[in-house]
Amino acid sequence: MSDGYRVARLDEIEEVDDGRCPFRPVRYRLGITAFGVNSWTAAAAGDRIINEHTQDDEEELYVVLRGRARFEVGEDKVDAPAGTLVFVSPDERRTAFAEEDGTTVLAIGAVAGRAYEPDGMELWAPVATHYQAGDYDRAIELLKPIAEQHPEYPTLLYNLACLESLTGRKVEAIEHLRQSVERSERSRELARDDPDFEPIRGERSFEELLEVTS
Amino acid sequence: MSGYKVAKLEEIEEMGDGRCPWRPIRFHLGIQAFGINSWTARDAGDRLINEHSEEGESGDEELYVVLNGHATFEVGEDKVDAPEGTLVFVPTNTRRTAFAEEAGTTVLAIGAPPGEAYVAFGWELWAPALPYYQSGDYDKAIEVMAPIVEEHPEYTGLYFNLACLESLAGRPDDAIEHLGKAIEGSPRFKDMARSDTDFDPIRTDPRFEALVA
Repeated sequence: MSDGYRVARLDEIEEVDDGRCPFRPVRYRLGITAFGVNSWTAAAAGDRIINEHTQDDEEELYVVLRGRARFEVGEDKVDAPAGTLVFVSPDERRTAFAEEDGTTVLAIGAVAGRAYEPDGMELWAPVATHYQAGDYDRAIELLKPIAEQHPEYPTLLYNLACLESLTGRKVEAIEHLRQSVERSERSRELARDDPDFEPIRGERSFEELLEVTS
Repeated sequence: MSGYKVAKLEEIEEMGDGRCPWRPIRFHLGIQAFGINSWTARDAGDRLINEHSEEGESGDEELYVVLNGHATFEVGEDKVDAPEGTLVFVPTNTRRTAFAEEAGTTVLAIGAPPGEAYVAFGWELWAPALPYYQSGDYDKAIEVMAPIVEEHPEYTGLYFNLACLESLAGRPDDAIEHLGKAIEGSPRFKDMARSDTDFDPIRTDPRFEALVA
């Protein structure tokens, strides 16, 4: 973005629900491109506020802004009242639960030694529930206009290619994967091991896309 | 790194460089992918964020998060009222500063350069030399910095600052050597060296010209 600046109140950013813990898309809302940042607020004590996951390669820092959370990192439990910072390396499994209503956690992430690439997870969120439920046709219907309108998020084109592969739309899958790979070398790496591409693996045009060109 | 680290914000020791003291969160936790520090005001009216832009510096975009209390930001020509829970995102080239409206106001600042890998500069380790740099005692600043730089070769920014000091102290050979190490670590330091007046004493040295070409 150019010369402006942007201001928001955290509580006024509308939550996005992808069928897991709803989050506030801080990065997307403010137009940040250099690192990822989102927040999660628990409706009630006991709510899970960070899904259990590892990261491919992002370092993540969690900042407890309000209330009290309990992190589970690897085998450990970490009591985390407001003001606690929990920094987790990419391959460490982590999740967190709210100990109080309204507990709010900010998560900041980026990859060490590599420029940050926003993935557009905020735009993927409404599609995710259909993908998870196996309703790929509906997922494609929702995602296609979004992905084509936002080529700055190559991950959306990548996900669209996955869905098209899964539904037997080979030509479209390869075309959208091509567009994604052109913008992000990372898409090429991901496609090599992604089971969503099993239906088109072995196709000549698919294999050609995976070859390193640079 | 592997594993994880936990800290309580208020337990991270503050660092002072003669301006508003800050807590070096990134340094404390060993974060490599982005920068993050916090500032806490003693009194209402304290300046929390020094007036600056990141142009020609780290090139960072910066996000400020008001964790508690109440701040006023001045961004470009605007004043921004920023109570707890406010997010202020400032692109690289915009001038900004912030003041506390209440004692104890705490602001978190997160930064990284868009489209480039983040490189930790090592400001946290530079702080002990800053007063000598500011008072023009470059020899003393070099004496303080040299062992720190040697111990922390991962912070290429420290080589850059050491080279500045050596240039100013009339030690061109050392300055060229250390500027070379900084540029080896990150090409960003080429641009910074071109515009940094600390290098005026060696600017016409052909070795300097070759380094920043």
